[in-house]
Amino acid sequence: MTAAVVIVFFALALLALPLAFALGLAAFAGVLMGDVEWHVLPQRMMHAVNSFPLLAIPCFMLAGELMVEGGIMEKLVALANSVVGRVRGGLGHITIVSAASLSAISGTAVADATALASTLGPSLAKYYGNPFGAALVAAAANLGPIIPPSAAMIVYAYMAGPSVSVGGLFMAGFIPGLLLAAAMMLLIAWIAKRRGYPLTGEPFSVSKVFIEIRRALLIVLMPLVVVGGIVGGAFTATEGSAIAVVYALIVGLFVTRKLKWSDLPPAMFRAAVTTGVVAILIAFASAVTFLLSIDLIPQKLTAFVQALTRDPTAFIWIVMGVLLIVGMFLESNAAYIMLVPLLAPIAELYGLDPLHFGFVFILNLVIGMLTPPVGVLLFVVSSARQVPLNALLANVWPFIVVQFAVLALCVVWPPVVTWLPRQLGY
Amino acid sequence: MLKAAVARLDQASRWAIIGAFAAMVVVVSLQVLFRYFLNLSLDWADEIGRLTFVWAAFLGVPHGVKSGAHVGIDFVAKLLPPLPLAWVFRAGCLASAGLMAVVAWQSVLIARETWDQLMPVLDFSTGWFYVAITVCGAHSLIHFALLAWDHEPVLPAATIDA
Repeated sequence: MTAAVVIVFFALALLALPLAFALGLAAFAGVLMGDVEWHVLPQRMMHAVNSFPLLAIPCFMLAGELMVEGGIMEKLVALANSVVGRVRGGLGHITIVSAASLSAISGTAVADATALASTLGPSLAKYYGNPFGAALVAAAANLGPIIPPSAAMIVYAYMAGPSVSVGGLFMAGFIPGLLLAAAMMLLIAWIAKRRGYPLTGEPFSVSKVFIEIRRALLIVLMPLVVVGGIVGGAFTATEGSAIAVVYALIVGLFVTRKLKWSDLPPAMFRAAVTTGVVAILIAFASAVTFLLSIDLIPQKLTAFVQALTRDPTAFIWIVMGVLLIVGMFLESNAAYIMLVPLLAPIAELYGLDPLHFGFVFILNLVIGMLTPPVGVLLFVVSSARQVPLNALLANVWPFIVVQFAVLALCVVWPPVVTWLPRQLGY
Repeated sequence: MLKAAVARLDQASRWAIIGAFAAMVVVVSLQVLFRYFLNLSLDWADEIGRLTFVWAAFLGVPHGVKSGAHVGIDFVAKLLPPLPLAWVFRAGCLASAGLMAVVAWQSVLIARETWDQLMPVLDFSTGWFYVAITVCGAHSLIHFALLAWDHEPVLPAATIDA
């Protein structure tokens, strides 16, 4: 049965059937081959999607939409410009700092990519050329699911069970997120110097920084309210995502006054359709996982891996290698649903810290959003900025290398990931 | 005529999605506000939140089918000449339509079986969760059939992430 599931999935996926439906048909093939009751399909689909934590996905998506519509992005860019604008590669640094700030408010990479492409894309194209500007946007957007809050972390924690908390994962992403931002800024500075990019921003002045902070104060406070509330235990991650929507709504309607009530229905519809795309992937991936469990694949995989190595370090590197390949071909949400229940328990058997393992797992798949052939961020930015995929790839690969270097650091030196959550009692 | 009926169905589904989404956000936000400002716990908020989420998410699926928003790998298919590509695309659409028909039919059976089971707090049948899958399956089936009928293959896009 497992062989049928795997063969059908790969055959259909390679023939351009959307991954969700390739998974669904693979599950149906497994049901037929394994003589399993057909009602298992909707039962597993419902079991996977009928979950309170998953509500955070549409809410963070809607919050991201409202922030862009509400002009929050412009204020973040102005603030970033006042801090890092007047250095070589300043526009690139502004992109990274804006992405990091936006990531502290939104929870997904695509929302960040769309916001950055629409606000900074034209200026980046003017000064650095469209392909490099688009590559910068795609790479910077990867900070979205790493700097808390993060929809990816919520899905991971949901699949991993009680061994990992959402708050712990959020805090685990904070330092690596800043490291990623710093590493990408160093790369930008080096590229800007080599290519002789012009100085673009306004001269630095402390008073200008304070003025921009004051203008963006309510936006800067948002991560404190949302992430602080979740980590501090005032509300759950799901409730935090709804609070983010309400906060973005209030700021957009009454502070920046760029948001109109009529903007709400289309924004909700777009967020729901994107959620539907994720939900059906999760639903069918869950059906596949259930069928694999009937064939005792988790147990067989555990025995296979343990026969391969008893060394936790070797195990984590094997997993990183597997996820690197998986990230190239499988959409990340489907990968969480299918692989977390398989690999997280094995990691515990090896004595690995669940927070450390969970975070490097997520970071690996997040970087996978930049790697072809299924690089979601590449598709989104290529379409938003009208850049051919080849040109985008030629410019984005140095950022992919830098992000993998940060991942390697997180793997070999766990305190980078675990120190902050441990200090906060996770 | 058929396309006009589908357009009306899409429009009705669109407003149902917006209604479910709005209810979900309002209920979850109210839960926090009631807890902190009125010291009251809304027992039903979790159930309504999940129900509206399930409806909003599953009703969104066919709209993703229609707009080609579901993620996929297109680099192998792009190597095919136009005619085989069109046939592969049609076959994929018809297979997916068949899958969604099975899903819709089986979820009707489960909804019927579980109709007497009520949610723990609300006096509401748990079968309503499965009705969402039924609607999703039937509506997606229609859009897959329409895609198969159309001549231009729509290769999968990528609009989602974690």
